[in-house]
Amino acid sequence: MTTKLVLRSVLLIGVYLAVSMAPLFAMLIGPTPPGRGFWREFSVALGFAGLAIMGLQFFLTGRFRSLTAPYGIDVVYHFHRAVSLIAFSFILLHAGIIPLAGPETLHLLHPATSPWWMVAGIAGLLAFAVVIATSLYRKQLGLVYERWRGIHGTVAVVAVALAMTHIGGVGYYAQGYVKRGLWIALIIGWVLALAYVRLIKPMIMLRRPYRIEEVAKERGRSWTLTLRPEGHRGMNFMPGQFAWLTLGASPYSIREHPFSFSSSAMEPDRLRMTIKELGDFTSRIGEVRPGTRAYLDGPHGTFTIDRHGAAGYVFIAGGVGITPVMSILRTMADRHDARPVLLLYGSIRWEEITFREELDELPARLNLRVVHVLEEPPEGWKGESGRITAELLARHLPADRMAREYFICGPEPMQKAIRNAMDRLGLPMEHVQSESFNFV
Amino acid sequence: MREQYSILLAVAAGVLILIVTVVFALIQSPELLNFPESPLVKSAVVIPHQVDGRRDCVRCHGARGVQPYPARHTGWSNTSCRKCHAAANNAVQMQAEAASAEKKRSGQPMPHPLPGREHCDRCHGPEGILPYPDDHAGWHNETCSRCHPQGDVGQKQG
Ligand SMILES: Cc1cc2nc3c(=O)[nH]c(=O)nc-3n(C[C@H](O)[C@H](O)[C@H](O)COP(=O)(O)OP(=O)(O)OC[C@H]3O[C@@H](n4cnc5c(N)ncnc54)[C@H](O)[C@@H]3O)c2cc1C
Repeated sequence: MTTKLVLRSVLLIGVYLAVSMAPLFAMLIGPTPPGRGFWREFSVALGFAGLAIMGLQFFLTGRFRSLTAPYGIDVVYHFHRAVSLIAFSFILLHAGIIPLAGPETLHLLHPATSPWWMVAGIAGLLAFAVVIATSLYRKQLGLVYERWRGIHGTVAVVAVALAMTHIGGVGYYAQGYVKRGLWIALIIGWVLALAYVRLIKPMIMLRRPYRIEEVAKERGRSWTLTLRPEGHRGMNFMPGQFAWLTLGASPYSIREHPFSFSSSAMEPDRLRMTIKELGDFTSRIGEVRPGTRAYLDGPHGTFTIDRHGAAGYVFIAGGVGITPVMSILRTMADRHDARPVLLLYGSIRWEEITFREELDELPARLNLRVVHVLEEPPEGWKGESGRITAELLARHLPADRMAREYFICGPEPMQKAIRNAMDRLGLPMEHVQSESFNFV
Repeated sequence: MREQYSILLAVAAGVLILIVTVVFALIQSPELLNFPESPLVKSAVVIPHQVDGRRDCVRCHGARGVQPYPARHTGWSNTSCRKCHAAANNAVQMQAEAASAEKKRSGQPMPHPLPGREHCDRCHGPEGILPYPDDHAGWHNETCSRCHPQGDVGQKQG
């Protein structure tokens, strides 16, 4: 990471903390009502902090490239998930401590005497619970990704609005310009973030459409879509990055899927994405007709050699995890990059190795060595088979292994196993980059 | 790895924010640290009765108590009261405070002597001959004299 990016990342973390704590500081500025006992005030502060964090989630998930660039969007998404659990526990504690610290407040929970702002508070708490539960147990609840995303986005907005109504209704820390001004500023910020994500960004995408030029079958139940920009110059990306793809009439649809670019970054006006048949969207990707409209939200991601300069590279790919690596290799070849590259590529069967033929040809244009590892090798196979283990790595890693940058892309268990193996071999773990296809 | 980094970052942020919430609560209600009493204590009414054995302030002073606290105190807990309301610390002060509290009471003086007529609700209950106003509903005989002092009992017999 460059110094500029490091500074930006520190600054953004500072801003994040300042905004999430701002309601607490504002509570002490201007006319401040008397305290009502430690536990009561503690629980109120937890509620305020919890809501401030939840409100900030609109920014974390908004895919603002200026916010995600220093960390990588996957880190931001993981942070979004972890911090939402923390914020939800704050909100739960807020709701739990008040009646425990002051049982006289229990009458507020009685349906007959409950004021409207208490009803809003309880409804907000339940809405947050729905958001969290559907995210943690999406698969167990049988929710398909798109339906979950619809519920997630809508209920989260409702929950934040209800919580804000609750705070406004209680009105205890609502006197003075600073307190009111801060909450109004936060609300405006949330609304702007939502408006950007739901309206402005799709509008920008609408003005930068693509058309599918070709749909080509690849080995390993995969298809390569070639996208041509319409009326603009395409997308400048760094090799290894990805974008969210929407096919069809409108970029306002929530049916968008993330795919790595598999093409060379030197061809921003002829983008390719290679997609493996997997679920309801991807299994019909072969049926997409040339001429179909497409929209891209990107580029995103930090899995790129352009951000991690080194004397040489080792790529370890599993299955369709080859796509970003392919983009890097094609780009290096187009750039006449002479740095040495080793590719360890795990596939199930010989016939299913995506890009097999091109990988055979690439060493003519690139200082590249390819090692195929097959889980189910054909008879007479003399190459590597089974899983990529520490022993296999030790056999193939070059002498300058400590000076190389490592890039791993493949299924989660494979990534874990390889990291463990690399650790055992004493390789420089701070020089390992990885991309996970299921972080969303 | 990258996920762990994010989780670590989130936990660090959470802990920091948690510390700030505790500090905020301590600033607002410092009783946990025994801070010097806030200036509000000086402005609040002194408790004109013994507090030993009467820790459940809300029982009498809660929204449904016999001597309810002002509406803006609604929902406050027993732990908060003594933060602002000091207890009278001797009999003389207690008497003085009681007298001043008495003055503040707005109830009409009783136009008859009290001894022998302690069952106020017989005449002033909802079924009585001179019922108290609706907003007195649910109050007990013992509480009437708190707001209604015994007036000049020589004038009228009621
Ligand atoms: C950074 C990144 C790069 C990727 N690059 C590639 C690539 O180059 N080639 C490739 O074949 N695949 C890639 N994927 C994976 C691809 O996005 C999913 O396989 C695809 O979205 C699954 O959709 P489906 O409806 O066919 O599958 P489903 O069976 O509906 O879903 C399978 C799983 O995929 C995930 N998923 C489903 N829909 C979405 C969505 N709209 N957005 C995000 N995740 C979803 C969910 O975890 C779901 O449980 C990438 C994923 C990420 C995060």
